[in-house]
Amino acid sequence: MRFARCFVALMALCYAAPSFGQVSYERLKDSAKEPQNWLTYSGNYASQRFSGLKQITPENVAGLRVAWAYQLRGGGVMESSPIIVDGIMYVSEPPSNVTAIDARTGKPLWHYVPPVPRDFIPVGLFPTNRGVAVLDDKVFVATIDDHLIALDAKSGTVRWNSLIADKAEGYAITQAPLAINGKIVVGVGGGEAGAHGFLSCFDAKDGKLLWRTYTVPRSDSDPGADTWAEGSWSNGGGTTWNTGSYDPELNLIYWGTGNPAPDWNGEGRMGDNLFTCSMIALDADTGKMKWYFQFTPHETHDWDAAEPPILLDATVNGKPRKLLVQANRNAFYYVLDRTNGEFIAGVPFAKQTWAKGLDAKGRPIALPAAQIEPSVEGTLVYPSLTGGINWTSPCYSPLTGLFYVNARDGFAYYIKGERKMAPGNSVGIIGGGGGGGRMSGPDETTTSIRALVATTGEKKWEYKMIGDSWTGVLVTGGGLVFSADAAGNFFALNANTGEPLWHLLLGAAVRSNPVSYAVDGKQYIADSAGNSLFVFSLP
Amino acid sequence: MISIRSLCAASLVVLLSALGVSALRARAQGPPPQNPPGAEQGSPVDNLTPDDIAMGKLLFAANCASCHGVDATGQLGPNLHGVVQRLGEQGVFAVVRNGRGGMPPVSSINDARVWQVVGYVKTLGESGSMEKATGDPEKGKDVYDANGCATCHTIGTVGGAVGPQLTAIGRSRAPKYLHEFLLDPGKNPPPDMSLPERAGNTGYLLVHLVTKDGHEMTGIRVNEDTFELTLRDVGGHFYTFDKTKLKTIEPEPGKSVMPSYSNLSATDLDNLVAYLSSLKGAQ
Repeated sequence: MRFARCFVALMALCYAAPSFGQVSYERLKDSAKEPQNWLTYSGNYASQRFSGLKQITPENVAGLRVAWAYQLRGGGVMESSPIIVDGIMYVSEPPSNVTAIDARTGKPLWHYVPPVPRDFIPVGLFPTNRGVAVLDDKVFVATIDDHLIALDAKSGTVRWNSLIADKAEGYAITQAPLAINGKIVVGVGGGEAGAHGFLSCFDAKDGKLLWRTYTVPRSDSDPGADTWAEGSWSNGGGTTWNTGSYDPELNLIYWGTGNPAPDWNGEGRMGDNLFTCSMIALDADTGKMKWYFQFTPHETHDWDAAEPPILLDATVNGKPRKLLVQANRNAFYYVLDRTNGEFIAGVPFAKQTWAKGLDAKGRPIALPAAQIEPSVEGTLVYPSLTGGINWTSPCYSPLTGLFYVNARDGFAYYIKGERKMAPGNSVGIIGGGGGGGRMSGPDETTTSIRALVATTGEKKWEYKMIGDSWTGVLVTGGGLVFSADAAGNFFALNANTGEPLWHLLLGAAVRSNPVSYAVDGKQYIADSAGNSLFVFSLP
Repeated sequence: MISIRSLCAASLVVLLSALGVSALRARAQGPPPQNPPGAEQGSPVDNLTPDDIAMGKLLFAANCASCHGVDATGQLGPNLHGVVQRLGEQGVFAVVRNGRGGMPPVSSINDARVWQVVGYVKTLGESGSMEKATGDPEKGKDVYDANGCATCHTIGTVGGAVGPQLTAIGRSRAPKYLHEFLLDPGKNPPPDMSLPERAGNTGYLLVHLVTKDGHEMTGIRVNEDTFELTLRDVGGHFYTFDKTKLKTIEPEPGKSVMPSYSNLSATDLDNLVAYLSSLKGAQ
């Protein structure tokens, strides 16, 4: 009795403790109703990376200052996009650790380190993790060594651990999983290592595999096998290494796929190489492919289509349409009908020298092979291997109707190598099969925040930066766009005009996607630079 | 916010003909090799086949050539001919895995692949396909002294610091490269411009700027981001500008603070190259 009285008295002395809330599927589906939370990797199922919060505005953003910072426990570079649920933030740390943090104070609440073998070196990608998913009372992380692990949201205790793929076959995972109704959807990386791409769906309760859909044929009778000469599908590719989107009404999952293998030498795999460098739409219950759209047929420049697709509804030519838009690594912006994959519009959003344009069906009208194909001595082509955009997320504001992207204008000398390929063991500039490239230097590469009319890709404004920035873009209901330049200047732009309004040098490159949330009525902006997560608010 | 910090009128127009006084810190050398030469028992290089060496060459072209040059004679990174003989096979392996100085660690190819690269680089030998310096190093030192090179460059502990230090330039740059550089310094990346500097957009790029209130300056770019620009003058002073206060910013990539030495006789040039090539470390 005395203890209880003491406890109550003690409670009165503390801040109200953050509470670990249940995150039902309904909450995830209707995330726009609770803009104070950031419940999925891209903020909502449509991957719009739009925050409805309005406290920070063009008028007061100059007063933004650091509220708290959190430094990685294990070192490395933080690329994680945080999830925020009712005052608790969940971030992942390299290679696959997870930390829960009090989102008001920055104080860690629990820390989970999965048993990743220390000597495991993935091929073609850096061992990092870009975020977690939450559903009901669990937090889900996909590890670099291909496990999907469910943690108790309150304690970080493991609830189940399922193997997704075999790392010896070249598979490695850096993406945040996608939580939908009772299910966890997750892809794989490793296209440079000859991994066969697939998307998996696990039961959120117990980690049982519900379905698995391969993106590249596994036999001559599989769909798309006739687009790979001489059974060359056997080399794999088409990985699903970034997080996709979901339309609950259509019950379709949208996921971008990566390059065919080996990448920079396409001679041994003539044909379109389905379903690589494509957007695929899968039935969420069965994994069955409803439609696909291939952006770059017979791809030879590492232009994965892995960028998160943004879903939005808009009027096109007088008709209301359900759209899927993507700024693709091949430097074109695409507008598709997300009910059937029909091509609606497509224009370059970054400098490109490989295609005259897109035809009526959205297929690129490529320039002659001699001008664009990788060669032994190197062929100069825009965009570079890292693309007009890479893994970092664009965003879309339903208030402005604009699509905001951090666009890269840079080139590479594309080098053709041998076609040899062995799973988990390959050749190339970053491990990839078939060659590689030499990229333009920082002074020859520029990045710009570009605002495009979402339904057409027409450029409304651009904000040009110095250097090669690898930062995602966030847009808020307050009318601000947040991103950062290559030096680590985190900045705010006016979402309507692109006018710079505020910046702060964070001391290292910002290699992650910004998010916004609110606790106790105060709006925060979060992004990481180097090995630290920074959280900003007004005083 | 900084606005044209420590900018005094007297320093505005910077004369680029060498003035020599410098407060700049000499650039740090990379760490010593982790494995000394000699301890080569059981090196995997011994077991490499000609196919492995050929694969090493391909891997080198794709992973290393952009900095070290297609023929490994050095561009942004040093000349690698003889590096295996100097650092040892294990030593080179460790540099590839751990990085060194401006070089990032390479973690994306497996051990067997790294050994193939080490094996290939070993076959290049001490001088490989490069021509050796043909001049007389001792006479080259006279050319160095007579032309006032020490005004801007340090060898050992002697000299200025406007340009890169040359104490070990013979180790990191091939004679051919030095020859071309002396004739046209603006054309090539400076000898000690390393990767982090590239990423920070520094190096020795000359930038000419005009402020909105009409002042002008040309200096060596130390740092530039989207919002600010820092230049250094030949006296070693630093100037940081708020870009919103600048009217024009003109990089001059083809130019260098260093003059061309095309006026030297062919013999003097060969001797100077031979002297620079003979500089292999601390004196």
